[in-house]
Amino acid sequence: MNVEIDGEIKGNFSPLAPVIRFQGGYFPATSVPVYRYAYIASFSRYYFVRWAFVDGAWEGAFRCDVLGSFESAIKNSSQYVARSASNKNPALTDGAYSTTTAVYYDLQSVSQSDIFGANYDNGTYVMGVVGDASTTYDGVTYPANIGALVYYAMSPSAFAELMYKLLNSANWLNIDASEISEDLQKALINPAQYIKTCVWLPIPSSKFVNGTGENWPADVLADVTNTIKFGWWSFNMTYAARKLRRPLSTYDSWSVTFKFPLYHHPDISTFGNWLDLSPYTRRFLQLPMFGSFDLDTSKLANGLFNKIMVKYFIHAYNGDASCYVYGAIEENGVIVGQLLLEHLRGAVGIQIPVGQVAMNVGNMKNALTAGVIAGAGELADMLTGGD
Amino acid sequence: MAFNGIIDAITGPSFKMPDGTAQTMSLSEYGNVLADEAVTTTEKVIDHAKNTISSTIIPALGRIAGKVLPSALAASANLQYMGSQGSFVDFLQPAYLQTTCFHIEADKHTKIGYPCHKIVTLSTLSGFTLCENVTIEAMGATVEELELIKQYLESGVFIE
Repeated sequence: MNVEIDGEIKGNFSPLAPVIRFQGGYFPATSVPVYRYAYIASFSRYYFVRWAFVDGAWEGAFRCDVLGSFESAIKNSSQYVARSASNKNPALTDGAYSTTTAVYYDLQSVSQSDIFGANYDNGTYVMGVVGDASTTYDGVTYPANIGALVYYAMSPSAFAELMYKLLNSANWLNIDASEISEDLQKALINPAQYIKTCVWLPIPSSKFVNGTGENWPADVLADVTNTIKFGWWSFNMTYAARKLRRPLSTYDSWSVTFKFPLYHHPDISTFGNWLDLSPYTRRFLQLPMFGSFDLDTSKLANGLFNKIMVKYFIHAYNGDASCYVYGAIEENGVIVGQLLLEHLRGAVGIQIPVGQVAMNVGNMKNALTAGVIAGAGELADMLTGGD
Repeated sequence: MAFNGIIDAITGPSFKMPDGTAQTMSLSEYGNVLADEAVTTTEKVIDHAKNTISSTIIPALGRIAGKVLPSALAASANLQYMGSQGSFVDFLQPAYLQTTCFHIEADKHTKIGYPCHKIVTLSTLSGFTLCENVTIEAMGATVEELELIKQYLESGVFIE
C-alpha cells in the first residue's frame, strides 16, 4: 500500500539517516505503523524505516536504501563480477560448493581379445638363434642377423616342433655313432646353447607369423620359411616361422589401438567443466601388462575430449613395449585431435627361460685341487693302516 | 732289507730285484700294505704286487677319484638361464577405465552464484551478483552513499 504522508524532520538530519516524527492521522498512538519502506521525494532517495513511539508520537528512523536510490547508475555501470547467478565461466573451478557422499560410477572396458587377440595357446614365440640366414627387402638381400642372431617368430606349434627335433634325438648332428656314441653326442652338444633369446608375445601367431588377414607385401611374406638355421645345422619344419628383418621394419613390431568413451561428470551442464577435475572426478585406468594408475584429470577437463585412446607398440625382438594414452576427440569414428596423457614403457614379451648346464672351469680346478689333496691324505692313511 | 728295486707292475709285469735273485724280503719300508708277507720267488713277488695293487691300491684310488671327481664336476656345473622369469600377470584381464564422480550439493547456486570473473554491465545480470574492486559514479550520491554501494556490491547483492 502506497500512501503519501507529510512529516516533520526532527532536529539535525542526514539524507542517509533522517528521523521523522509523525503526528496523528495515519499514525495513531494506538497502533504500530506498518510502513517499512519509503521514498522521500525532496531527497530523491528510498529508505528503510524503523519505528519508535517517542513523547506521544511515532518517530520513523529512516535509513537510505542506496541500491534502490541509485539503481539506475548502478545497473548501468560495468563492474568486475566475481560471481553471478546468471553469468558463469564454466572453465573456472569453484570451491564454494560441497561434495556429498553420493558418487556416480562409470566403468568402460575393452576385452583382452580386442587388445592382444591372443591367449596362452596362440601367442607368438620369437627366438634369437645363432645361425645364418638372409632376407630380401626392397630387392636387396641382407643378412638377417641382428648382431650374431637370427630371429624367428613362430607359433607355439612351430616352437614345440623345433624343440622336439632338437631334443628327441641327436640324428640332426649328422655324426656317425661309430665315431662318437649318441649318448656322448648328447653330452657334448647342448642344442639350447644356440638359443640366445626367447620371448613369448601376446600376439596371435596366425597374424604375426603368416600375416593372415594383414595384407602384407610379397617380400614380407617371403620371410616366412619352413627352414630354421641352427648353429651349423638347419631344420626343415612342418610349421612355418618368419625371419624378422634387418633393417627393422614395421612388420617386425606390433601395435594395437583401443578406445574408451570418456564419461563426464553429470553436473557439468550446471556447474562447468571443472567438475571433470580431481577431486570431483577420478579416472582410474587399468591396462593389461602395464598396470593401473590414475589419469591426470587436469588434461581432460577442457570439454573437448570424448575418448581415451590407448596404443600399445610392442617390439617383437625382445618384447619391450611402449604404451601411449591419449585424450582424444573422435568425430564420426575418426580421431581428429589427441593429447598425450601418459607414455609408459614395459615388457610385454615374457622371457622364456632356456636352461643349460655349462662348465665353470675355475670352480672345477679349485674343486679338483681340494679333492686331490684330500685324496692323497686318504691314500696315505690307507697305506699306513687306516681304513 | 731295503727294497730298492723298480716297481712298474702297474703298467706291466716287470718286477726285478737288484741282484736278480729270489730272496725272502720284507717290504715294510712301504708301510704295512705288504708287511709280513714273505715271498720266495720273483713270480710270487710279482703276483703278490699285482694282487695288492688290484685289490687295495686301485680300489683306494677309485674311492678317492670317486669322491674327488664328482665334487669337481659338481663345483664346475653352473646352471645358466637365458632370459628371466616372465610374468603373465593381468594378461587375460580386460583393460578398463573407471570414472568416479562426486556429487555436488547444488541447491545453493541461487544463493552464491557461479564463478564469472568478467567485466560485465550489471543490467545484463540477474540474481546473486558479487563484484570486486567496485568503482561507481552516481549523480547526487554522497561519498558515504557511494562507499555503501561499493560495500554492498563487493559483499554480494541480488539484481532483479
